[in-house]
Order: sequence, then structure tokens, then C-alpha cells
Amino acid sequence: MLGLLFVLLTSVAGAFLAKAAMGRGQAWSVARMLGPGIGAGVASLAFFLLRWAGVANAAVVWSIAVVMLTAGVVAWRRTKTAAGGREAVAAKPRSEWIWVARVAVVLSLALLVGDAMTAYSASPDGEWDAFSIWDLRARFMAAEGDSWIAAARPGVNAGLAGASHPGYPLLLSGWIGMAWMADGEMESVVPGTVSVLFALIAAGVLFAGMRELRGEWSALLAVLVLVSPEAFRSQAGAQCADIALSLYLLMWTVLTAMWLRDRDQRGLLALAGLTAGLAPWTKNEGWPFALAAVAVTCWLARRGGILAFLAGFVPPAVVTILFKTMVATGSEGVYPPTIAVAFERFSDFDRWAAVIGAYGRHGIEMGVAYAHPLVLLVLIGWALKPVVKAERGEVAWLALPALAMAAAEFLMLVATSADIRWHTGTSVPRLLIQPWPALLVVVFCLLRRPEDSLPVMSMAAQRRKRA
Amino acid sequence: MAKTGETARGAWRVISVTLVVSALAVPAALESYDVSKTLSEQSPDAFGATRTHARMAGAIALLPEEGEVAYLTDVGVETTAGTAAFLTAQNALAPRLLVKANAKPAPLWAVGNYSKPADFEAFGRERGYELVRDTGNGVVVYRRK
Repeated sequence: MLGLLFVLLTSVAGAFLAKAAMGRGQAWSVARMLGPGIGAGVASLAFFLLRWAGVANAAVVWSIAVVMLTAGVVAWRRTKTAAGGREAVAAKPRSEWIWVARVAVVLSLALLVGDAMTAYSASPDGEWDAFSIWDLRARFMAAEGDSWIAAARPGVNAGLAGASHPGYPLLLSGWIGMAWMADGEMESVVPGTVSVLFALIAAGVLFAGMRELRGEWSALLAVLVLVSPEAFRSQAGAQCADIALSLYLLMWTVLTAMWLRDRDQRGLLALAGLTAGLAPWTKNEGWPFALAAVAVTCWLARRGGILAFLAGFVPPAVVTILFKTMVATGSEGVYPPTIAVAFERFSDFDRWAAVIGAYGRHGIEMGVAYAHPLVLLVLIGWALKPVVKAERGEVAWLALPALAMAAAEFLMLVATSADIRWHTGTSVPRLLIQPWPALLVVVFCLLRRPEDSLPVMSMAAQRRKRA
Repeated sequence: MAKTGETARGAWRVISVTLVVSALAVPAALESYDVSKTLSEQSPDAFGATRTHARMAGAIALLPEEGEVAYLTDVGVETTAGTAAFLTAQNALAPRLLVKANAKPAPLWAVGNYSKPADFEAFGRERGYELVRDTGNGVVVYRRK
């Protein structure tokens, strides 16, 4: 149970740090949801550095949590008393029918938790990739002494192709390893809880962010579309890093969209930079996302704000590079050995056909036909209509990093050294989920607010409602 | 009047689509839950990770807390079943690092993970290890001779 307490403590610390960075006038509801993502990221970065320095033990791990919490509360109190900022005003729903969407969201999330708990009770150690990669690396990270380094050596899992990943980054395994070290026991309940927590927090960040950006009605619809795919729901209990990665993409997108609306709040950009930097600390696929996020932010913040973004982005990016270059050894077995081999594979039409076929097949299988996420999105798009060109602003740019990552993953599969059918079959369902929440933010920002299509409630009706 | 009509149509669209999306999303979530429940009931612990933790408990008590441990088995590690057996054993024994039986230099300790009864002592002896204890369920702890 101490491990779960550690997860809770660092999540709360993350929320205070997020709120302090966001500045006065930004909603607590968003900061609360950012908490576990920020907490996991900051704690795992510190943990890796301390492990590398050879000074990690249970007392040090608890100290990290306490220092994070203290720093977060102190920074939050300072911003609380500072002047400036504006109170965000969420659009108020103008129809009582919104209760239907609220109930649907609550039921959908409850069933998602039920899904995850069922999976956990059947397989407490998670899916194949969980027990052979993420959970295993956490066990090494949690060990006393120098055993942790085995997690970053090619000998782990006897170098078996598809199972030995010495260069995989350490956010998820580091956070779980810390919790286990803090506890003194390696109980499966910690990765099981973290897995479902990341899924719920993804829904929470989407809801809180969309509520700030487009009002509660859009937020509810976005969450319903997010959690409808079977692929997303099944990952909630899988204990892998894909939903964690999707969370950092989502956080960057929400924070940058909030900054576009309120460009004086540079803290939003700093936090966006941190989340972009944490993406490659979560999974290797995070690199194309992070690089594209840097490019897009530099373009959007060309009149000011780039330094704030880089202040958040550079620390996690540097730590990830240090891990990759100074600690991890060996290479990924699925990468093409040379550029020439990669181009040779790119010229093979059959490989393209296999990957396109896999994306098509798994895209169709993302959800049941009657509630396929694309069906729901088409329905919602038809009802809400796109915003007029003048209101579109620069938000469409925010889709580019997630799309860049998806494109890089697609090309990686075309050039894979593994059996292409095995690789696409085991990867594509998870890859489709990674950019999904971030893209939903952009889509809903490009649609009109539902509230704008509803008649303004009369004063008499409002009085009746209040009564 | 035209604008009022347009607003009414827009409101009708938003409310009706919200109801439809809500009505579709919940049964889809319920269906997903049912699938998950059925799969879990049909194949609990599909890869045997949890069973392996229980099987390896006796070996964990005998092996040193860290370092390399040779992995002896009667199932080829390159086969699907053998890979699953190896990976679940590695998970259970971490932070000890499992290495293949022919690793050089040979680790001081070895663990045997067998799928069927056999002469475990002879199996270890042929690979330079003497049996320390057969902890049951096909798990054997060895030490280099």
C-alpha cells in the first residue's frame, strides 16, 4: 500500500507544480488532471539521475516525493498571491439535456475501470509487453545495488528479438520502480493501478481541457468519443506505456491550445514544453512528436514565448539523451540496420500494402460498428458544424506533432526488421491509440461549441432552474 | 424568423446527436466489458506470468538477490512456449538477470524451469551444474560444480 501512497503523493505534487506553472487565473480542474502526468515525469527523471549517481534507496525516493510536494505547494502559494492573469470562464450549458451526456460519461468511465479490473484480476502482471518489458524494467529499477543497469543492457531477456529493449526510456518503469522501492515490495497492484490511472487521467485531461477551451458540452462528447474504441479501453488494463505516451501528447496539445487563447501565460508554454520533453522519456515514438512539437511551438511563439517552452522542454530531453547515449547500450532489433536497408524496404510495394492493410483492418476494428469512433465523430461534426475560417486561428497546427509521430511509426513498420505481419499485428492497435486523444482536442476545437447552437435560456427559465 | 428556424434546427441537431452518441457509447462500453470479462474467464493468466511467480517462490528464497543466473530448460527458448516460459521466469526472478545456459562465463547459480518430469540432476550435471534443491512444480535450483 505504501507504493500506492507514493503514486498518490507524487501525483498531488504534480498537480501543485502544474498549477504553479500555469499561473493565476487558470483552472484548478486542468491542473488536477495534469498532476499524475507531471508528477510521474518529474519523479522518474529525478529517480534516474539518482540511480545513475548511485544514491537511490527508499529514503531518497520518499525524499523526492516530499521535496516535490513542498516545492509545488510553495510555488503555488507564491502564484496565488501574485497579481495578474484572468479567471477562465467556461461556457455554461443552455440545455438540461446535457445530463444525458454526463450520465453516459460516468457509465463509460465506470465500465472502463471495470474492464481494467477484470483484466487485472485475470492477469495481475499485465499483457505480454507489460511483464516482459515495462514491469520487468521497473523491477530492475526498484532493486537495491547496481542491478538496475541491467534494464539498459542488451542482455536483458537474453537478447531475444522483440523482448530485449535496452534503449526504451524509463518514465513508466522508473515511476513504478520508485513506488516499489518506496514500498519495499514489488506488488502488482502498483503497475495495475498506474495503468488504469493513466487512462482515467487521459479522459480527465481531455474533459478539463476541452471544458476550458470549448465548454462542458464539447468536453463530454470528446470523452465519449475517446473512450469508445475497444483499443483504448483494452489498453487501460494492459500495463503498457501507450496510454501514458498518448497522455503526454494530449497534455501538450491542451496546454498549447490554452496558451493560444491566453498568450500572456508563458507558464502554460513551459508546461507544454515539459510534456513535449516527457514524450520521448515515455516511449521512443515520442521523439518525432517532440521534434515536431518544438517546430510547431517555435512557429506559433515566434513573437515571444520560445524560451519559456524550451525551459520546460530541455531538462527532460537532455536527461533522455543522456540515458540513450551514456547508459543504454545495444540497439533495437526491429530497426533497419542501415539507411540503405531502410530505403531498400521502402521500395518494396508488398511491405507498404501489408502496413496499409494492417492500419485499415485495425482501424475498422477500433470499435464496434455502431459506435465506431469515426462514426461518432461524423455524427458530432454534422451536428456542430465547423467553426468559420476567422475563428479557426492557429489551432489546426496542433495536430501536426501527433500526425508526425503517426507517420514516423507507419514508416518504421514499413522498414521493420521483424516479421512485418507479426510486427503490425502486435503494434498497430496500440499505435492507433497514441495520437487519438490529442487529435480529438484539435477536432473539437475546430467544431462549433454545442452551446452556440442552443437558444439562450430565458431569465425566467434560469430562475426556475435555480429554484 | 429564418434565423430562429435555423437556431431551432441547430439546437435539435445538437441535442439529438448528443442523445444518440450517449446511447451508442454506453452499450459499446458494456459490450467491451463483456468481451474483457469473457476473455478473462476463458484464459486467466494467459501467459502464465502469475503462475510462474508462485512456482519460482522457492527458488527466489535460495538464489542470491542479484546477479546473473543461468536458465536451464527442456523447452527451446526460441519457440513461442519457450519464450513465454523464459520471459515470465525472468519477470519473477528480477532483479536477477537470466542468461542462456551456454553463457560465457557461466554464472555461479542456475535455475531449471521444466515442462515435464525428467532426471533434473543429470540435466544440470551435463551443463556443469549440481542440483541444490528441487523446489517442485518443475523448478530446480543449481550451483556450478
